[in-house]
Amino acid sequence: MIQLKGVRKSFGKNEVLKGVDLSVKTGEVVVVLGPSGSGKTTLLRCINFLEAADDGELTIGDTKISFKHATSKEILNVRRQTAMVFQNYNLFSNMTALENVMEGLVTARNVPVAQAKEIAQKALDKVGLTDKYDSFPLQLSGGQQQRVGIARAVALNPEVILFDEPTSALDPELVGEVLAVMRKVAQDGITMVVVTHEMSFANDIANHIVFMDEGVIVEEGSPKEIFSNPKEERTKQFLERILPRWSFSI
Amino acid sequence: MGSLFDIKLVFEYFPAIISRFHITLLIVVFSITVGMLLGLLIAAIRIYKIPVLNHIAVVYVSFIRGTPIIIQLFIVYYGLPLLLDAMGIDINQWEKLYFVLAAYGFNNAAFISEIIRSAILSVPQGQREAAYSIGLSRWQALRRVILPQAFLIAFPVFGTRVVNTFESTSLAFTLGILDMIGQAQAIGNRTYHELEGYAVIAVVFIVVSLLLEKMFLHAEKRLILNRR
Amino acid sequence: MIFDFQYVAASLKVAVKYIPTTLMLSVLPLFIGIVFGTWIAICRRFRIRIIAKLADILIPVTKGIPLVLHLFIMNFLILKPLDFLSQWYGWADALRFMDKTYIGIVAISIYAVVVISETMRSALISVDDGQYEAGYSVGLTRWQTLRRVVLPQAFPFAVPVLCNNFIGLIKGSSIVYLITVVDVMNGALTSAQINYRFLEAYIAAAMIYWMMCLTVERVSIILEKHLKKYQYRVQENNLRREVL
Ligand SMILES: Nc1ncnc2c1ncn2[C@@H]1O[C@H](COP(=O)(O)OP(=O)(O)OP(=O)(O)O)[C@@H](O)[C@H]1O
Ligand SMILES: [Mg+2]
Repeated sequence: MIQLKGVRKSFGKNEVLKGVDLSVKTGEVVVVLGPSGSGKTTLLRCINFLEAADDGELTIGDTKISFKHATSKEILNVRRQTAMVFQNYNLFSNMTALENVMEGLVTARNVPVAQAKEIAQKALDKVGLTDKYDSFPLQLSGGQQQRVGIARAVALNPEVILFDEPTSALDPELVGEVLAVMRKVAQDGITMVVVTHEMSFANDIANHIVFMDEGVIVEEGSPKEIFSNPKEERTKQFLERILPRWSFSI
Repeated sequence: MGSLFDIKLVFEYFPAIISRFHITLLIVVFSITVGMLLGLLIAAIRIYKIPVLNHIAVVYVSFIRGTPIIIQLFIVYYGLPLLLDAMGIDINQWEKLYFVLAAYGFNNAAFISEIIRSAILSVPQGQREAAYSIGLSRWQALRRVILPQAFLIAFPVFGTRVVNTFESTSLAFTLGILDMIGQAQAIGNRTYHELEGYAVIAVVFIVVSLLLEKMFLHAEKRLILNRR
Repeated sequence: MIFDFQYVAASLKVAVKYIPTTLMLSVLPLFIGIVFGTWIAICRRFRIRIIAKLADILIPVTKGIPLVLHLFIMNFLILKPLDFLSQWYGWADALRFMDKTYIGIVAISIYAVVVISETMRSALISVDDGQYEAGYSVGLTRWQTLRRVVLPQAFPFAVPVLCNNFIGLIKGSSIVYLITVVDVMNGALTSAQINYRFLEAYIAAAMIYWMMCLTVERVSIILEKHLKKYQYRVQENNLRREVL
């Protein structure tokens, strides 16, 4: 289980996160919604310290870390318990698909190579890339790259996987394959925090939905509560703007 | 021998050394100007692959790029009179400075021709085709589309060349020119205080090359902004 | 005086013997430059406290000083104290008249470190931030990310520029004749001191430098092709990818 308390982050004078509290139970899929610029990406990046938050607390497993005073050892520890799937994939371009997945296991966690290879192959099989072990990232389509990205995260067996708009850089016809893989991961009971604009997908897989705007969590609840019965005005406006588009695409 | 380094002498030598700065400036300005004119010619020869001349140009550019400027200086100094003598021109009475100017000019011609050539070649083929497709002639396409784009590509590299030329003028003294380093050595020979003179020159070189870099960066920004 | 190729050949014969000296004066600085230059570039990329700040000031400033001044200053700084000490100590006197190649190596190395640190800096910048972040996200430390992900991507980018730097060092090393080191340049000139065939001697020296630089250029092209081939293969497949 991970818990965030009072996370604050400013870029210069621009306060992007204004005290965010969030808790994610083990095995739960939390989807974060919100308009562009509301701070969703920043929140995810703060969780694994790609961005240094100014204030707040993070509890992960049974360790509690204050963002302000985190040591580099604590940061590394958090990073080894989390994994991230990036919007633009960020596969290591000097490594094959298999090596990409093995890297975190072998170098960061000292898993023996043979064992890491086995885990990595299994992860790639799961995302349907059995025939692409030895391909380099640039030899793969966007959808395939993102599936490697997911395999890379899954193979680490982290406490939580953070997804930042994993399909928004993809051509429309490739979105489906990535969402399918994510569904599979969710069904395996892996804890996930997902930022996405795919509403029907959010509705399907989320146990819990969080709506963010201007650096605060405006409303949260089950998909049903948020989608069919939003309480806050800002949530309603956001959904009204985005849902018509969504219902067309079904 | 007194102290190794006397800061007072740095100020004392400064006027004498800076008074030779115009030689350095002359070499840079002259050789860049000549280099641009000759360089344009060489670049044209190479791009249009004019027979025979193209081969000569390739060898010439390769030679200049593959040998130290200091050797080029001496080859011009000893070789140019022989060459021109064979053509019936006598330049044995020339001042040494002229040979230095010639050598740096020849040197820059090669480097600048490469800058121009690679800038023109790096404009995507599609740009040329697009220009032809709206009915521009070859010359119009070159003047209206290719050259303006190539200019933007070449400009920062050209700036680096100017700074490099400025630094390489520090070797002109080897031919016996009384430039800043020549002056510092003359002072050093008299007083056994070379280091102070070198310190003055180092400061001049640092300040001027930083200024040049700033200037070109600024100009580059202006160019890019003006284009919009 | 008429140009005589015989004298060129004679000079060539002597100068060739000093190719090892010229190589020592350029390969050693290249090596030192790559090691320290990369290290400085890394410190600047990661903004490592004092070192990064210091380098921000020192590198541009040192870069502004021409190589020949580095050489003269280093020569002076090493020799003058020895001059002084040699009044009392025999070893200082001996050092004073020793082969000065080492002074050349020191001066050229300083220059090389500065130049190559800039090369490596732009190579490090050429690697996308996302690559660092991906490394951190799977739990690699900064050093591990650097070693396993960033440097393997930065070095291929740097190779052609490093080859250019190397050519610059080979050519630049010719100035050590000014402090009486006998390298290719000075070797070619030895016979000219007697027969005044300077033009022929300089041409002989030029030939050797030219050949050395052409060799490095060839190697650079081969290396680059090797790296490109990998990229082409990738791109070929890339073309097919959206058709899948
Ligand atoms: N590195 C940065 N430096 C300065 N400002 C930043 C930086 N990263 C993000 N911001 C600012 O923080 C705010 C929130 O950005 P963030 O990327 O978290 O939004 P988001 O909710 O993910 O938006 P989107 O849906 O468009 O991805 C924006 O106003 C953005 O301009
Ligand atoms: Mg975002």
